[in-house]
Amino acid sequence: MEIKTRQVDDKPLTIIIEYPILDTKTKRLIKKMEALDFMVSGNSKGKIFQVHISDIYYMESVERKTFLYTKDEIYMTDKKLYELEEMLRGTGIIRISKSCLMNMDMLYSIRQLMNSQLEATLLNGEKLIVARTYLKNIKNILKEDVRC
Amino acid sequence: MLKEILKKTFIFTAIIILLVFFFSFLMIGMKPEIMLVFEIFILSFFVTIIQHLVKQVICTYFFVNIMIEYVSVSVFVFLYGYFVEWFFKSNWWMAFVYVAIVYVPAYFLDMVVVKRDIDYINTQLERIRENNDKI
Repeated sequence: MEIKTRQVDDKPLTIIIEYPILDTKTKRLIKKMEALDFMVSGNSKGKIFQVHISDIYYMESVERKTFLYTKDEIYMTDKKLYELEEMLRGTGIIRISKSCLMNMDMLYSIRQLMNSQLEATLLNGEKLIVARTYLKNIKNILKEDVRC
Repeated sequence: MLKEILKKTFIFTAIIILLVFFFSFLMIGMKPEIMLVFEIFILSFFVTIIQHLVKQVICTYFFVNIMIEYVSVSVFVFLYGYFVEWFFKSNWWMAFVYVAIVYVPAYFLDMVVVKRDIDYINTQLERIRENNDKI
């Protein structure tokens, strides 16, 4: 794969993908690019914001409310966790427990705790519990990445 | 690869046993050994349904999950075994032992599989970080 970049003044960020065949690798690349521009509306301190998916570390449902966690902010959204999961399928946002979706790009490592729970450490050092049933989700995403 | 071959082997074996005993049943009628095969088939069918239902109650504590599954399956095996006369009043607790014989190795096998998955995930994450650094 060849990557060419050039600066063009007074134009919005434009990505052109040239491919010989529209295969899985290309489709996944396009999905990734689209995800960068994907936004979810959330509110913080009474104000409504558009939050870029790529800025979100994880999403959590607490007492029937859904929260989006970025590096420095926490936003609340009207969307249910399952709606976000459906909406963001293929963007690297995956379910890791009944109440949590994680951005795969923010995952640093995973380890098994003494009580056999699984703990994911994010790039910002935050720790999340991963249900064993969903460990396969993480593995499959990384397998796809390897294939690409 | 080996896992896939073993999985297919087990399925193939089960199909052969069921078909052979089904034809035996048609030819010579229901004998105790033929009945046992069908009883085990029915038991497996319901245990699979129980396992599927238990998986819907996802708990982050693996040990709690496996205990819920173990107790549910044991109670079912006990009731079913009592119904088809595998157990008697004096040895009802055998159901729990038989299920434990299956679940204890399965628990440790799962630990090994999870460890392998975690190692794979961490290796891939490290590799991605190295690639990103190069870019």
